[in-house]
Amino acid sequence: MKINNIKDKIKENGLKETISSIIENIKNEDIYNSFLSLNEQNAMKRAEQLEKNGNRKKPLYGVPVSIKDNIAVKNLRMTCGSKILKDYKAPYNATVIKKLKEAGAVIIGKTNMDEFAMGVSNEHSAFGPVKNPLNTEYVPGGSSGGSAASVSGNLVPVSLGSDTGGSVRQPAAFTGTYGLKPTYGRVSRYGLTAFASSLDQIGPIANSIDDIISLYRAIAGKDDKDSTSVDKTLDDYNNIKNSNRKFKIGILKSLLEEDTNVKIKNDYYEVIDRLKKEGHEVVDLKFDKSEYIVPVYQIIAPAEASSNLARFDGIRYGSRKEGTKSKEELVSKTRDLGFGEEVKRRCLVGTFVLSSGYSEKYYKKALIARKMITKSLKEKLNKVDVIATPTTPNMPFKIGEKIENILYMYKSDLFTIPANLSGLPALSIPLYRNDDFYTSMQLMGKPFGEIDLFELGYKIERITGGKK
Amino acid sequence: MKYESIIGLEIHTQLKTNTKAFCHCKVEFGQKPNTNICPVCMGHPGSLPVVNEKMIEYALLLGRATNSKINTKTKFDRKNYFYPDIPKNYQITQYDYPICYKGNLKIALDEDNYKNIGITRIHMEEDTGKVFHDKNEKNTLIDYNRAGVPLLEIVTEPDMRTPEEAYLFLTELKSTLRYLGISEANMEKGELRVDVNVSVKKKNEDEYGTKVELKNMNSFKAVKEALEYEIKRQKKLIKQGKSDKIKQETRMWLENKSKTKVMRTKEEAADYRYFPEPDIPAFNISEEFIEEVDSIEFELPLEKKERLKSDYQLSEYDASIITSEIDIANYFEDVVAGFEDGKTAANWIINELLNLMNEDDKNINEIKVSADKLASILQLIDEDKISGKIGKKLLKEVYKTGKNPKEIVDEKGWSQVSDSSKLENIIKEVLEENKEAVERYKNGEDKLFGFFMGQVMKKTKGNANPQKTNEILRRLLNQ
Amino acid sequence: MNEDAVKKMKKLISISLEKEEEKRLMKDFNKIIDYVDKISEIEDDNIDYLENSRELNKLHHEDSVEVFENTEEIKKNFPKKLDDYLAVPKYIGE
Repeated sequence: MKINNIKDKIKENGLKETISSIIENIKNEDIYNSFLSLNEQNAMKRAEQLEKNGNRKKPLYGVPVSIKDNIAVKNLRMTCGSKILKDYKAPYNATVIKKLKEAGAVIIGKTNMDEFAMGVSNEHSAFGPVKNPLNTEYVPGGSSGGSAASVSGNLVPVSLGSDTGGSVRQPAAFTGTYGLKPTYGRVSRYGLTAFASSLDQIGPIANSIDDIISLYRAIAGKDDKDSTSVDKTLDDYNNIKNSNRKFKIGILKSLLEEDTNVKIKNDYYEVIDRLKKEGHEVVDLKFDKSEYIVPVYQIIAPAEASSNLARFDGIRYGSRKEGTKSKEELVSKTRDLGFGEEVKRRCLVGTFVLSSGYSEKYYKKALIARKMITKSLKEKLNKVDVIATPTTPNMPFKIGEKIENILYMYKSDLFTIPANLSGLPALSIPLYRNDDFYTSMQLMGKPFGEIDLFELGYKIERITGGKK
Repeated sequence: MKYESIIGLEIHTQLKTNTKAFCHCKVEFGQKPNTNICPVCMGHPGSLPVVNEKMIEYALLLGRATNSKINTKTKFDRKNYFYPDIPKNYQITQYDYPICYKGNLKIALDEDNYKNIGITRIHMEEDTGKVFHDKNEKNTLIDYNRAGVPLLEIVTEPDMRTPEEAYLFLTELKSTLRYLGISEANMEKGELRVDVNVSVKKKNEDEYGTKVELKNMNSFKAVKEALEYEIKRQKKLIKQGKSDKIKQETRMWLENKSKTKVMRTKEEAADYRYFPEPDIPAFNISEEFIEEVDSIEFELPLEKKERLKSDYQLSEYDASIITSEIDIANYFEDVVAGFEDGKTAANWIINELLNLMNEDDKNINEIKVSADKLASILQLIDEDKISGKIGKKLLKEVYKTGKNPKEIVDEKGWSQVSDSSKLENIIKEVLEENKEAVERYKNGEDKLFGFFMGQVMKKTKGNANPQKTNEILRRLLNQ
Repeated sequence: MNEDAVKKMKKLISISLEKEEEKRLMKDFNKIIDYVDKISEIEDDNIDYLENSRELNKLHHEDSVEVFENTEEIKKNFPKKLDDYLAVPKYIGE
């Protein structure tokens, strides 16, 4: 399902009818458990209003969007996939929601996710796992599994997820959709429940590059409410679809040699070869320090998360444990009951690496390593236009299959983490479908270089034929 | 004295900005609970802090007033701990790059004897909500109106050597904060909070004693008393050879028992896991911003005191009282704009006006005797239009009604009779009516002079000019 | 991680754990710490936390009041309310 399909439907049947059928379809077809709540009443009201008075020229007029359940939509439940927020209602709109509305979009509902965005398979949700629409015995990836499934399952054309170590790109890869993590600071984080503040970004998931661009344009921009957002005008994307530009593409051969699935490697190299044949230059770049990528992330992200999640104590909002005898007990029992195991693990690790006696050894060292990795990547991006890697080293696995294997899960973020650590933009593009699943390629760009990702992405889309 | 006390202070002061440190909520007191709140200061998921520029401006002003060095490149940090009054369960503060450092504040030990107290650092942070244990039997109640209000934390060098010096420092600091207009700094209202660090050592020894922290003092007086008690306690233990019994701990001042008691030992000190606040990037304060702040004019309390002493020949005592509050000092200068004799103006403000204000607990901005009205009263006295005694009555009347002094004088017929011929006629009348008393006076009963004065006052309803009456009466009686 | 350290961690994260879960989590924790311990190979260096500083005027807010229009919703989220106060079970304060 693409935005153009929706626009056609609206022309044919009107907006109200279109939204109504989208909602009915979700109610009947969401066997994936991708939605946690439907915004039915409001969406219908909005469709009615838009149809009567709305400006039809608005870029996302009438487009139904699903929103990951860690992004605040005013007066709607926001659970972040956690028991501790199961009855919490957001009192305000995230900035991206305001912007979507200004662009004419219709918020359809909130999607399932790994609890507090911690996970790579959407098996860590308090509300049940999400199933991959390509094969429902398999995981859709995480943490934006619900968002990816809602798009891959053709329930909505586009979704907003959040990406801290790959949480938009990896589920996009697993579900055969496109996923973008913008440059850090491009999109406001105001209204995104923070996981790791220096790594988080909100990004779109869609079934085509056109649609990725449409969502991205609507949500990007400096926000006074987010001091980490940056004032940088968007480039003009009007002439990039069929350009003749030749790219200089960096690849990281050595990184791939570690444990990458054979199908993924093959498809990846095939596309690289085709690009070479089309006249693009391909350069192999050495990436030393690659063994630190995942450890650095697994120190910094839990550290920031342990602080960001401290606010969930049952005192001002959320499910509070009754009948406790002291304030310490109230908080610690509430959190014990409200948090799942993965969240508890990350809080333990994160608190530990920041604690006195250990922060020099772990947190500070991780910051030093992060700086090195960032410097190295940016240096390489001075020599090439984009860096291309597979999006994931592994293909989707069955639900329940890897849940005990923590390190396996963590290592599957190998290709996606560098973009978060260094704040660079990255786009995941599906390549070829083998049996049920797609293989995917990731393009990483210079800071604020989303245009390069889109432009080269279009060429890759042409080579592979895009999504059917 | 064989012993020396080493005293340092840690002060938190609430800033008088319009909005909170990291959001646009109003800074306002006395409102219904949980009115001035928003997702940011309540720590709701997805909320983000944005720095209030006024908080930075006020921090820089205090930095200037204390001759501090400025970290123009600085950042905020998170101090992580769980407590119900702190919505995010971390406080946004400044850890290793305080906005101001290495400053000082001069205190006046006595008239010409000053001492510089070093200020180690001044940094910005946010306040917590307010917790109430006594309002309900089974519940503790929390009001978050105060959560996120901007604070400055001021840490002094351990330069004070007596409780009196600490008291003087706090008084001077409060005055300075009010002069700068950045804080009301009222300790009784919780706008200023003070923690004390104190240790005792033998004067001839180099090594410092064990440092004890004191908390829970509600007034400057309490700080002084707590220090006096604690120093005595420590001295006693040292004298008895039990200095190892002085532990590095936090002690609470118990006002009703006039003693300090252990609260917690430092070994249990919390691990705050400080790290740089990721939601607020490190920032440069531009030269323009600093210049703007530098161009704000102000005069510090001690400077103003010296100037008023020299410009108006005020005594040390009077100048101290006048400059104790910027509002009183401004009032004084407004009065002398209309009536040049500063000494008299000061006298009246201190001895008459402040008493009236104290009786009904008003401050000088709330009273009906505006500066020009007081100047008017003083002018009337100076021109002999009313007597000093009447002047005091007049002041009370203006204080009550706010009416124009000249109008009141006319209404009540309080104009002083100073005309010599008029007075002479009245006096002659009195002497005529009291011939017998005059005889007795001339025969040596000097006391009757007062009686004649009284009779003149009676005839003039108290408005006779006393000096003139005295002169003329004496002249006529001696004829 | 020894017992004292575990106790300290539990207090710092404010999450009470049942015995079984605690055992499981500690095993996982040790695995993870062993894995990330690789980081100690990195040479020590100074971190300049002020390196990528921005201009203050790009990130501050003006001192003008904006009333949040939905304070009622914030209060609706209070698990327990008494008058307009947030209520928690009574505890002895510091």
